[in-house]
Order: sequence, then C-alpha cells, then structure tokens
Amino acid sequence: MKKRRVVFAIFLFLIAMPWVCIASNSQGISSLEEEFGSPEKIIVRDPLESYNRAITTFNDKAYFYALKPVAKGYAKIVPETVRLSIDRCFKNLEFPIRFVNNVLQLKFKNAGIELTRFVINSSIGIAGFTDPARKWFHLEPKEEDFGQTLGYYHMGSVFHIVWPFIGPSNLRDTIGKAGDIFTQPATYLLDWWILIAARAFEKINYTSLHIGEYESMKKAAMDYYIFIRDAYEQMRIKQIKE
Amino acid sequence: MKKIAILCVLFLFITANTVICSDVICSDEKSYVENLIKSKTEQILSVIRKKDISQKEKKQKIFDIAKPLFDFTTISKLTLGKKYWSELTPEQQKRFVDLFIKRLRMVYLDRVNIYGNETVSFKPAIQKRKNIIYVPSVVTSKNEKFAVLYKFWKSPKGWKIYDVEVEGVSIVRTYRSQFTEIIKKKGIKGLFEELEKLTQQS
Repeated sequence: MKKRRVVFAIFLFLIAMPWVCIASNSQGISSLEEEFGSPEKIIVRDPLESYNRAITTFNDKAYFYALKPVAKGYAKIVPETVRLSIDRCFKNLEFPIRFVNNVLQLKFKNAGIELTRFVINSSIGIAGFTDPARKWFHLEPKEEDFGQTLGYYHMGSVFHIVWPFIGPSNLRDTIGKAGDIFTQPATYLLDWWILIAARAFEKINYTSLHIGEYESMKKAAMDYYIFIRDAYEQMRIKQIKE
Repeated sequence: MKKIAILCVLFLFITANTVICSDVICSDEKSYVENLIKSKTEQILSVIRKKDISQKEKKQKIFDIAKPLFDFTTISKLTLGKKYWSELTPEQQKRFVDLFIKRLRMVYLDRVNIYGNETVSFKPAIQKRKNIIYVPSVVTSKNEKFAVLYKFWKSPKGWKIYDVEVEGVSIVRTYRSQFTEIIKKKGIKGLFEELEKLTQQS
C-alpha cells in the first residue's frame, strides 16, 4: 500500500513535469508575438506617403549622381585620417546642442560630461580635431538633440516626413532641427551661405567615410522607402529612451 | 499515509519548480547565452580578418558558424505575423522559411566586404523574461560606436536568436512592415514572387 502511494506520487510528478515545461514554452511563442504587435497595427503615421516616396527617390538620385561621386573624388584627395579628424571637429562644434538638450532633459551628469569633453577636446584636442576626452579619459559623447528632448516630454513623432537632401524625419524632429539651429552660436555669427556651405562640406566629408553603407541598406530592403522610414522611427525611439 | 504521499508530491513539485526557475539556473543560462554569442562572434571575426581565403569561402564559413545560432522558423513566423503565417499551408511555410533564409544570407553576408576593422565588446546579458535573454554589445568602428542587441529565446531546441537590433532598429520589425506593405498591395502570392525573384539573383 505504502509503495503504491509513492509510485503514484512519482507518477504524478512525472506527469506534472512536462506540463511545467510546455506551459513556459507556449507562453514563449505568444510573448514573442506580442512584442511585435499585430501586422495591421500602424507604428508610423504617414499621411504624406506619396510625397515622401517621391522625395526619397529624389534623395536617392541626389546621392548616386551628386553626393557619392563628389565624396569619392574628395576621398581620393584627402586621406582618411584627415577626414576622420574633420568629422570629429564638426561633432565638437555641435556641443551646444548636446549640452542644452541634456540640461533640458535634466540629465545633468551627462551635460557635465559633455562640457568636460568640449573643454578637453577644444584645447588639448586642438579644436576638436582629435578626441582625447574619449581616448584618455573614457568620456563618451552623450548625444541629445531638441527632437529627443520633445520626445522625452512625450511628444510623439506625429507623422513621417522626408526632406530633400536631409532625408527622413518627422514633425517632432523637424521642429527639433529648427530648435537646434538656435542653440548653435554659429547661426548668429556667420552668414547663411557660409552655414549652408559648411553643412554641405560636413555632409560630403561624412559620406566619404560611409560609402557603401547606404547601398547595402538599399540592397537589403524589399521596399526601401518603408525600410528607411521604419528604421528611422525605431532608431529615434531608442535614442529618446536613452 | 495519505498525508505523506501528498507531501511527497508537493515537495517534488516545489523542488521541480524551483529547479526550473531558480536564480542559480537562470544566471547559469545567462552566462551560457553570453558565452555562446561571444565565442561565435570571435570565430566570425577571425574568419573576417583572414586574408588568405576568398570572399566566397569567407561567407560560407561565416554562415556555417552563424546558422545554428538563429531560430529561422520563429524569425520567419514573427516577420510574417501570426495572421498571415497561419494562412499558409505547411509546404508554403517551409518554402517561406527557405526563401527568407536565402534572402537574409544574401543581404547580411554581403556586408562582410564593408566591415573588417571593427571591434566588438559585450555587456552583461539581461534576463528579460524567464525564457528571453538579451545580450547587448557595442561595435566600435573608426569614429563611431553602435549598439547591437541579440535577442535570445529558449526554443525547444535550446537558446536561439529570434531578433537582432542594430541601434534600436529591429530586423524582424523592419522586414515585418515591408512584408505587410507588399502583402497589402500584391497579396501573399505577390510576396512569394518577389522573394523568389530577389533570391535568384545570385
């Protein structure tokens, strides 16, 4: 009698065991599904889709017929180390944007890091051409912009919009970009055409360091407008969260 | 007597449950997953840095190393979404998985040509749920750093990747919205046709 009960208990246990496993597994697949929502669920509002698609095609052409050849020619003349330095210098000049928006998001520690980085890199780093703050002091840049600040205070993207030459954006980030212009001292010091020329140069320099990336992204996509749009919005959501 | 039997069952049940869910096992699993992706990444990086083999050989080698890490059926299921997936016959499902693997292989192995001088560092794994573990990593290249997140789930065949996020951009999510868009315009059949066309190029 005693034996039978023990056997029964073991039997019950053996029956229960796989159930525990199955329960945790089936919960698995549905919880994975949950993460991505139903396919009909719209994550990006895009009332301007046909306009956006047209501008995306325009930007694509502008890349292949203007920006890329110029950037490639430029890369042939200017060595990579110099181009990387120029890239760092432009980043350093954008310090006010990062500083102001870290403060606006009450990230005072990060604002302090940005200030320290700016002081170190502008002096020892020779106007930001090198990045001793990262190399020697392990201070990483804390990217923030006004679009992210608006997102931090719960403004949604509203709707997607693609700008000629600039690329994918949305209403929030467009307002953000406009706001960032006002936090740049250069805006008040230099003529508009110098600013635009500088922006164009920055873009050429940046592109020269990233040739092949857009191409491979485009190749990876099946509908590259949708791909770029969604990738942009997902990336911004992550940047806002951080 | 009966009491002892019930106690016995209860005891076994509780120990069974705690063994399955205990922190000890979980942290073991976390370090297991972390080491898994670390060692595979190292293997892949050493293949990328090899100079004496052709691009084609490189790609094949990398694919062989990476393949067992991924749960392609689940990835396919998630990108298509439950609704569309369940509308397919088992043969169509299999065909879809094959096409999608082919496509991913073409697209992502193609990048072997662009990358080479990057370094990868891993951060401690995160137990997202009992059956989900995230492993964050940072890829450093030239002036930039970007975050790559490997999302593992405990599949019936062990811990496998069901999604990868690069700077917050999820591969499953971006394919999902593209597939949805194509299905909306051309139907499931159109999606199959497009995948067939795209994977024939090589």
